[in-house]
Amino acid sequence: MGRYLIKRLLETIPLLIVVSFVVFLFIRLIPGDPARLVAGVDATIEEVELLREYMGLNKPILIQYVDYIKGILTGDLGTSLKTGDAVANMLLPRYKPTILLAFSSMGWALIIGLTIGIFSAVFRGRWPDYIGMLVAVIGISLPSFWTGLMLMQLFSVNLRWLPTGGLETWKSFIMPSITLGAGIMAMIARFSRSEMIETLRNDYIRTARAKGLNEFEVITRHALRNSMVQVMTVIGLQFGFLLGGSVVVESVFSLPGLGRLLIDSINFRDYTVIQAELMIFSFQFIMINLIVDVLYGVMNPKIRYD
Amino acid sequence: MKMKHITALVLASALVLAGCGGNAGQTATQTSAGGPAAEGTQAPSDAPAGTGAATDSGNGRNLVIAVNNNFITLDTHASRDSLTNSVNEIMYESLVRYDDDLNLVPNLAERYEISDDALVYTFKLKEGITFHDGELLTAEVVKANIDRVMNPDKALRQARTFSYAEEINILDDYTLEVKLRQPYMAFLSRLEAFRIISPAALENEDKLPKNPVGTGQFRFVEWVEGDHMTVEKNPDWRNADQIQVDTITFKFVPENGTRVAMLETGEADIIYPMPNEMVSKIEANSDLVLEVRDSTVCRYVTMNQNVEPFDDVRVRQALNYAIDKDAFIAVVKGGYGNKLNSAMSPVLPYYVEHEEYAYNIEKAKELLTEAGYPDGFEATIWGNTESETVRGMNFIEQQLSLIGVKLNVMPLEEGTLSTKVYDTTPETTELQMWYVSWSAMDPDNAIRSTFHSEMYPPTGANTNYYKNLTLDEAINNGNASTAFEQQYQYYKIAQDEIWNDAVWVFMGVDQSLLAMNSRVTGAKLSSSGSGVDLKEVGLK
Repeated sequence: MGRYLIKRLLETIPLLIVVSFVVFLFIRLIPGDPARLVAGVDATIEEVELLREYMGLNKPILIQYVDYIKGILTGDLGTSLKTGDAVANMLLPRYKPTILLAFSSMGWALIIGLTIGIFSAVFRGRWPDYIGMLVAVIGISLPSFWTGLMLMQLFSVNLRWLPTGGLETWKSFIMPSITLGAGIMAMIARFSRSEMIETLRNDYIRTARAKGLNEFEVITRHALRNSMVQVMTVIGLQFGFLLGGSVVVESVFSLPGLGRLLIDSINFRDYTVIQAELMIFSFQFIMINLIVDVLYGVMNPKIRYD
Repeated sequence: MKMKHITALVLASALVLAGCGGNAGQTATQTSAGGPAAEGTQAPSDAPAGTGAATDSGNGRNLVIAVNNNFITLDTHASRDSLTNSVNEIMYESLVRYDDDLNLVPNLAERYEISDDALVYTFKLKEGITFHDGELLTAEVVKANIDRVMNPDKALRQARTFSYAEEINILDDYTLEVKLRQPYMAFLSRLEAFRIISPAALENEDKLPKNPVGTGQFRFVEWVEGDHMTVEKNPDWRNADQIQVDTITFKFVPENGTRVAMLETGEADIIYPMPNEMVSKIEANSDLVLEVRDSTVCRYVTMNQNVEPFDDVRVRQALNYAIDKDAFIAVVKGGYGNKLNSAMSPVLPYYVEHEEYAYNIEKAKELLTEAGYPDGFEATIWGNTESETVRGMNFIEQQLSLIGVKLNVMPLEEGTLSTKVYDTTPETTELQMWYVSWSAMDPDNAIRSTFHSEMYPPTGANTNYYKNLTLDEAINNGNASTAFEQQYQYYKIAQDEIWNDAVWVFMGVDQSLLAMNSRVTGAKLSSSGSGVDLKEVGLK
């Protein structure tokens, strides 16, 4: 296992180098000139040129790339083309709301999703199954934008139970995490249901029942662990996306997370911020995939790497 | 036994959520160095325990305003957007300011004089004015500010204010003169946006984007990136007893619906901008007040005169006659707007009214036939992807279809649009029609870049590719004149030319909307119509 881990970690290095180059190149291929966008429509061409020089965009592309790589290796993510602030200063404060939102959304999606999945599998074909799958379909069909605003109208404006957003209290995360978690919950529900159904068909389940274990123990002690592989995959992928922020939920609930920062930066072609964010997202994704792969082995000893 | 595990898991998750949330509450009030921590108001039922710190005064009049975007930089010399100006305007001051009628009056300057040849501006500063950090405002300080922005290596937005400045001279401690290379009628107007930064803060340039030190009514407290910014009353301001709130908190709320909800729940006292499609919610609520103001924003369609058939004035006039401007305001602007009968907004003192191109389909068809297009023609119209813009373009497309003009509506993402419009030459540009707006507070800024024949992209914004030497001369003469009456005559000639040549399809002038709680006093839209003027705001 140790060797496997080291091999995987080493593989991430060339992967990250490729990602850095692709990101760097592609954002510069998109039409749109950061100097012009930041300078504004009534800027003279001299001003735009001066700004472009100041932003370092006149240097040869390769030099810009080398500066960028050097920066990453020394921990200097550069300065934002739009605000003039250090990119790290812009990114760090936005991690907290993003991570809190990611964990809270994933948390309740997992709890509710697994519960629904198990009940649906155990009572397959009967009404708990139908209700469960109905809930799942609703969860994945409702657009988050609509769900968010509807929840806000009900719980903030009409009932005054919850704040409309912002970072002030933990209550600010209730509606956003419900909105964001709904789709994930649906996926977990469906995947865990189908895997559980498969698992429950196995001989060792019959053995467990024959041994005299009650149904609850059979499910939780034996069936659950073996049904988690697909669920782990979903969790891993979704968590990777969640750590990139969620533009819609962040906008609706005024949460200053990484998603909004990315969209704002793209609109202004703020290359330095976009590059930094995408590199970090890639790195996060790679690491999460690695963790999930390792967890497969933990969950199900049949999946091992030597 | 397993039940215990599941229960433990559920409880643990609940604890984690509660614990995480608690952290969020506390770190949201990191303060800047110095200055007491100030809390924005929250919904009455929801004040978090333990996070409040003492506010400056016992009254605790804390105003909350929700705006649609982050502030970008508090370095007022670099700031380019009108939203950030709403806060920069109350922390910093300039030598002159606009009064309610868009006239320039002295502010940090006690008085100013302009020489007869319009080349020398002399400013006598008010004495005894201090910055938030205690530094004194003197002529040296103003010169240091000017030197900074005039340095081309810094690529600061305010450089263009002094683009014609040749020499800055200190005449005594409180008097300085600016000598221009050539007359520049908009100089004073540009100075209004040039705010003075404390000399001590200028020495720490890197910190300026987040460390504003000015002479204004309010001083900086904290800025939690992306979430909110708080300022507090400056007790040392020269008219401090006129300041009627203790703190102002700006919250960044991009979503229209959320902002309106905050006003309804009381989480915000003011919201800007107020989306016009939700006005009915404000009107239905007796605690809420709507303010509407004519702005400097003109909305129009440019037509590339290097491309047929837009080179023919009859075609351009026909398009003007073919569009029902009243319907445009009702359908696209939700009823909030006025007709545009010149090349600049009526709020400018230099505005000249013209007889409108009244809605007349028959006349439009006649003109088209005269010009040789009895069956109309086809063209492409660009615009950005905002929903109101797309609605506007669809409206225009429908209107023009009635006279046989077939439009291909092409919404483009802002960055891409900017490249296609500005990063081209007259020979390579693909622009035919462009539905867009322009905003300016002085006549030179209103028409030079958009109509002068030397301002074709990429040099300027004359996307009409309009060449009229009479107009060019009028603009140049207007700029060089010193007295209002003279300037007015030249700008009248300019506006008449543009109007008679139907250079634009003149759609309308925007109105800005501000919505607030009826407890708020003295908050208004700024005289230009973009941004909020909080200098005299108060809470009942």
